[in-house]
Amino acid sequence: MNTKSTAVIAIFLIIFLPFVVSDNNDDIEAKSLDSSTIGYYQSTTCNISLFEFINENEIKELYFNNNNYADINCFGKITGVDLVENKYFVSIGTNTSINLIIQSGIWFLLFFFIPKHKESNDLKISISFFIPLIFCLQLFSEERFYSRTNILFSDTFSASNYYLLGNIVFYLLFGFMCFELLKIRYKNLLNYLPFTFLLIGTFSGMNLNFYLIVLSYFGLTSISKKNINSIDLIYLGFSIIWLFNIQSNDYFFDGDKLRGFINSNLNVYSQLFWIIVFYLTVKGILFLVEKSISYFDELLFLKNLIISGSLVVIFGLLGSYFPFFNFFNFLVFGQNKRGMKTLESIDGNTWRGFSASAESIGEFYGFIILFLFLIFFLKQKQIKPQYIILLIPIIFGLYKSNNFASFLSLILSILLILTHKYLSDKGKQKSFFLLIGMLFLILVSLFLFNSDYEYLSSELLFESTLHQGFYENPGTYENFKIIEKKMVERDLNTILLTDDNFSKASTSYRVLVDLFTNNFNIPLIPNLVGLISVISLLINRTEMWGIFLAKFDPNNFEALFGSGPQQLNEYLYGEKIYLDVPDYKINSLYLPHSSFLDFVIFFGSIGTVLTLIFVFYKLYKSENKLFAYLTIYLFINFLKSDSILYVNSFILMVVCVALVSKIKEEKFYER
Amino acid sequence: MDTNLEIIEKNCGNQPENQEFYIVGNDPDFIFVNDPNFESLRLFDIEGNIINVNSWFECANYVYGGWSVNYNSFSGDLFFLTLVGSLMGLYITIKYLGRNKILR
Repeated sequence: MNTKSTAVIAIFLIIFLPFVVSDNNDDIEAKSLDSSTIGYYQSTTCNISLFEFINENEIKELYFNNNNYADINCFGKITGVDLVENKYFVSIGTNTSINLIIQSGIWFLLFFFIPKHKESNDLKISISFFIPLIFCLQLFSEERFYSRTNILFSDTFSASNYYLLGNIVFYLLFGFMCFELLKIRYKNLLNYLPFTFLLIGTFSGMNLNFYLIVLSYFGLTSISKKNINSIDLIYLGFSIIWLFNIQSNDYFFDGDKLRGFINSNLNVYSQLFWIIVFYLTVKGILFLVEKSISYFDELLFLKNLIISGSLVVIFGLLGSYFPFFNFFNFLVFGQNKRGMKTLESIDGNTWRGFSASAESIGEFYGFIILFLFLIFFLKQKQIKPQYIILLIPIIFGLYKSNNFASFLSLILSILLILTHKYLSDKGKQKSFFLLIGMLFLILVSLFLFNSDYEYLSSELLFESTLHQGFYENPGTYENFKIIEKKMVERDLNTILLTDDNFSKASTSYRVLVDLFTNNFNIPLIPNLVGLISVISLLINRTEMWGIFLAKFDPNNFEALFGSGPQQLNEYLYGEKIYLDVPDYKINSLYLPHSSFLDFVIFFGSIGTVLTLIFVFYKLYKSENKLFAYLTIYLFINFLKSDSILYVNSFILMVVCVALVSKIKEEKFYER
Repeated sequence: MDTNLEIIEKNCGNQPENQEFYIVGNDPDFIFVNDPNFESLRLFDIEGNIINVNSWFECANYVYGGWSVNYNSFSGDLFFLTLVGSLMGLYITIKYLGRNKILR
């Protein structure tokens, strides 16, 4: 039996065995589930395994709930049953610490399917010893998160803290596995990057992602090779500012759909942890790109994109129809949230589970189609017909993601690339883009002249004002009319005249009001705030960006340098606002809905501007049209989505930017 | 209800005659009356919490809610450490017995 077959068998055993095992001598058997046996299941917790239960019950109207807080002896067993609105909710014990071992085991075994390359001495086993040092820090720094999700959690420093000792041994073993499995495979990893959209890699019950640990290992390797440059020193400077500027408090964010790649606390240690992990992750990606560039195969990458995208659709559909798949999808693929239960209504307009957001997965599907187009039409390369067939689920996936922006940007990108391709003469290309630019300006001008600019330009501030609760009875029609009148009269400053309103208003709101109402006016040049307002209306982001303005209340340091990587606590809970949204949406997670704004929160205006200059410079200097187009496509989509907050989208973006300057066009054609 | 009664009787003993069983539920004002003929029992929940019950009816209600006379003093954290320790031992054994080819 070869290694791959052994790995497949091992994966199946690891997945299913814990849910099969139970004590057959305990006289406690699974019974057919109905209203009369609910009590039986409630009084025989941790005795009946999931498979025993399934054998006895073929009821469709049930839902398997994962109970991460159960103890280890309850793993894979029924820990409770409830009947809610004619649907049985069956809780299955899935202890967080055991999840960590099982999920790591499954994902490490999958590395056996990545082809080996020649022996390389780049990776060192000694790097593994840093992994427990870094990742055990999280257990203490995000104590509030882990005390809620793991019954074994203990944060005492003592030799009898077996939980801590177990984690130290586990992370050390994790480092060893990275070394052993990847020392002869890591140069091929880049080709398998698309599978990060299928195997999300978030550990169940943890605020940690598998890829962050693996990439940190590469990041540490990169540092050990003294790959330090001025950007590292700038990041060090930012880190010192973040750590000294932090004002710890009780804010706690359970991660929600961002679990695995977000700071759940606002304290020095959690800040330090995420500063280190973010840095090592980016460093690790750049190291991988640098080292594996000669092994990068765009056709293999495309095939993997297509397979991964199709499998997301297939497993997503299986999960939505069968509770069994829904439960195991969550565990095996490391989803942030449980997958959708049906394909109807709101549930069905996203691949939730496989993707934290509809936007993110829509961008991924658009990315696949654009990549295929670039390879097929521009590079004249052929791929096997079966991969073309797999485009059907991908197009279906894009359609069901309900991401119109992704679809539109895909079509526009294809049209522009096609035109660009057929204008082989450089002079014609310049004239074409000049023409397109002018046409766009004329269209926008016509739109503005035919619209109510007064209304359009103030809509963003209007929306933001609605969420500040400046006047009595916020949310009422009366309140709405008062604010509308202020907007029409351009009388925003008087709103802020009272001390109460001034202190209620976020600093970002005050700055924008000031920019919007000052008397400095350059003829024919639109006001910056007015322009952003018009853009936000065009791309349907007025409400979300309005809420962002109301919530984003940075001090001077935060405005310049940000709150630190993955630190959203201050943004989410620091500024108390009145959310002028329907009641059922009041407890929703309101993210900025723009990766650009996410970046401003994390890295401030200086960090964002420096990053943008870096990216644009790379694009400008790029000799690799393929990844330049793909990066621009992602960049445009990221402007109106929070995709930078999701591990797989973040990695894809960083890889694209890194590849833009790494592969030259000629080399691409040579392949 | 028969299946529940079976489990209740395993934990609390046979149902006394003239003792009707019904579920009290989450009534904070309800007070269980002690039964002098009932030998006190110690029940445990899934997390190892302890409650002493002084009547068959009280016992039955707790058992119905998931409590049991048997507490498994299983130590999850020690098991976790043993498990990862064993995996580490396995790795070291494979590594140093020169059979690390299996990892390729």
